[in-house]
Amino acid sequence: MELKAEGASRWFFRSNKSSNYFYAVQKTDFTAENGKITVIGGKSGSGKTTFLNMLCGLLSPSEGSILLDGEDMYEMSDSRRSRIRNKLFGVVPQGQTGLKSFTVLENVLIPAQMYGSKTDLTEKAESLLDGLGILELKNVYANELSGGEMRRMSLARALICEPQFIFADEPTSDLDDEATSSVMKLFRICADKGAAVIINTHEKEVSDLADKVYRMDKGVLLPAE
Amino acid sequence: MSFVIRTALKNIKGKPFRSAVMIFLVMLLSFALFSGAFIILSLQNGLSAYKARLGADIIVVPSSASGHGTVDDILLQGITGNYYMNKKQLEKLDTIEGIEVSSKSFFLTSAKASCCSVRVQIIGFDPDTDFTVMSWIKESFSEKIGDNQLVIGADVTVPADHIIRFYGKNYNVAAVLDRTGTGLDSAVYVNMNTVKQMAEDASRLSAADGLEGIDPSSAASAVHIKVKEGYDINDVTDDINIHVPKVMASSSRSMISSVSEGLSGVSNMTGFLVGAVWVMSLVIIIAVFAMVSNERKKEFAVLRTVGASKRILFGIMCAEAVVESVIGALAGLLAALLAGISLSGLIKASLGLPFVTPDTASYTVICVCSLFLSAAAGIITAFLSAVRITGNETGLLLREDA
Repeated sequence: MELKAEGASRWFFRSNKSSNYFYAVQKTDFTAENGKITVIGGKSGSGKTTFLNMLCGLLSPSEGSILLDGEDMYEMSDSRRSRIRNKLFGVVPQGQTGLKSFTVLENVLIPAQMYGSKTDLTEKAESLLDGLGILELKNVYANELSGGEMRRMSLARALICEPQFIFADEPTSDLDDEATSSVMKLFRICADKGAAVIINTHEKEVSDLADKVYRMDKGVLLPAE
Repeated sequence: MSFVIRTALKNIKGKPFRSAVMIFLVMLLSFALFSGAFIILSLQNGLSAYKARLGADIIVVPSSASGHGTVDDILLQGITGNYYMNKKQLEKLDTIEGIEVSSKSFFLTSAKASCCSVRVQIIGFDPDTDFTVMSWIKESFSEKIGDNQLVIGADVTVPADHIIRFYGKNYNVAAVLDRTGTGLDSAVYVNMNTVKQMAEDASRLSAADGLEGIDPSSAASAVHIKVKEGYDINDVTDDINIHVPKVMASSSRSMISSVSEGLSGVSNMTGFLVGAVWVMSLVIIIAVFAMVSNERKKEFAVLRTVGASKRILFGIMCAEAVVESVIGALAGLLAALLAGISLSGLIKASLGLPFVTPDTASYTVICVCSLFLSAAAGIITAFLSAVRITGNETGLLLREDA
C-alpha cells in the first residue's frame, strides 16, 4: 500500500502583526516508504506533530491531500478512515496516552477488540510487552505507570494489529538508552516485515538508526544534510 | 459484551468519584420530580375528595359548634362534637325560601373507654335524603347502609372480626371508605336509626356530654342544603343566619374556594421549588458534563488514534450516561418513594389541607415519568457533550493537550 502527501499544508488561526493565521506545515509532498524507518527531526514547534497527524488521518490538511493507494483519506467517511487507522495504522501519539481505567494488557488489546475481532491476541500482546520489558506490569492500571512505562505500553498498543504504517511521535522521549534500543529493535522488525515506520524525534541516536532522515524547519520538510 | 459497553462500564468503575457525582446529580433531578409531583397530585386529590364530599351548597351547624372550630374546620378537619340544633331551629330552617333539598346529620363523639373500642366521630345521616355522604360511600359500599351497620373512614382501624363496640353494643363494619385526606377519614358513618340508638345508649350510660335534653329523633348536628335554581346561595345563607336563631350557615363554595386558594398556593410554591431544584440540577449536570468532557479530551483522542470512529466514541459517552442516569434516576425515585411514604402523614399535618396520596396507577405514572425525564436529562446532556467532543478533529484535541 502507498501513503502519500500531495501538497499537504495546514494552517491555524493565530493573530500576529501581519496576519491572523500561520502555517504549521507548508505545502509538502511526501511518500511513506514501505520497509523503511523514516525519521523526521526538527525543533519543537516546527510542525512535525501536525504533519504526522495529517498523515495518520487525525488532522485534515488545509490544502492538498493525503492519499492512501491514490484515494484521498479525508474524502473517506469517518467510519472508514477510523477502520483504516485501526487495522492498517499504528499510532503512538506524543505524551502520556494510557487509558487509566484499563490495565496495561487491556490497553494494548484495545485496537484488536474495538471492532469485535474474535481472534485472541493476548499472547501476542504479552510478547510485545515482554519485548519492551514491561510484561510484569501487564495487570497494573495505566495510571500507576511511570512516563517511560506508559510510552512503551502505547507502543505495544500501536503494534498489536501488525500495522502497515507506523506513526510514532517522540516514542523514545522518556526512555533510557536500553529501552530506546529495544523500541528501535521493534521498529526495525516491523520495517523488515514491510511496514513503513515514520518517527518524529529530535534525538540523534534515533536518527542514526533510520533509513531516511528529514528535517522539519518552520513547516517546511527538507531532506537532512 | 460489546467494546462500547465494556469500555463505558470500565470508565464508570475506574472513576468512582466522577461517576458518583453524575449519579447524585441525576438522583437529585429524579427526587425533585417525583416528590414535587407527589405533593401536587396529593393536594389535587385532596381537593377533589373534598369537593366531592361537599355536595351541598350550604352547611348549617348550631352556634355552639363554634367552640369546636369554624364550619371549615368541622368539615375539613372532621372536628365534630356533641352539638345539636333542636326541633324548633330545624323547623324554622325548613321555612327558609330557596331550599330545594336538605339532609340532616347527627354527630356523636365516642369515648375510648369501657363503652367503646375506639375514639372516633360518629356521623349519623339519613340515606333517603342524603346527597353528600352516599355518593362518596357508594364508591366503596354500593348497598344502602342498614341498621347497626358501620361504614368507616380510611383511618379507623378495622378489627379482625369486623366488630366495633360503641356504648356497650357491637356493630358490624360494612365497608371502609376511600381516603379524603381530611379528619373525616377518622369518622364512622351510620344511618339515623343507628345513631339515635347510640345516642340513647350514650345517655343511659352517661358516656357522652351535650346530650342532656336532646331528643335524637328530632335533633341534628348539621344540615346540608341544596339551593333551588334561580336562588343565590349567598342570599339563602344570609337568610338562614338572620332568621334561624343560634345557627351558623356557610356556603360550601366559599369553603371550597378558601381551601382551593390554600391548595393552589402550596401547589404553586411546590411547583416553583421543584422547578427551581430541577433547573439548578440540570444546569449543574450540563456544567459538570462539559467540564468532565474537557478533562477527558485526551482520553477520547487516544481512542480515536487507535481507530475509534466518532460513532464508537459517541456510543461510549452515551452508554456511560445511560448507566449513570438510570442508576441515579432509580436511586432518586427510591429515596423519594421512601420519603413520600414515610413523611406523607407529617406533610399532611403540617399543611393542614386535604392531602390524599395517589393511587397505585398514579404512583406508577409519576414513577415512570420521573424516571424517564431525569434519565433523559442526563442522557441528553451527555449527548450534547458527545456532539461537541466528536465534532473536534482528533489532531486538534491532541494539540490542545500537548
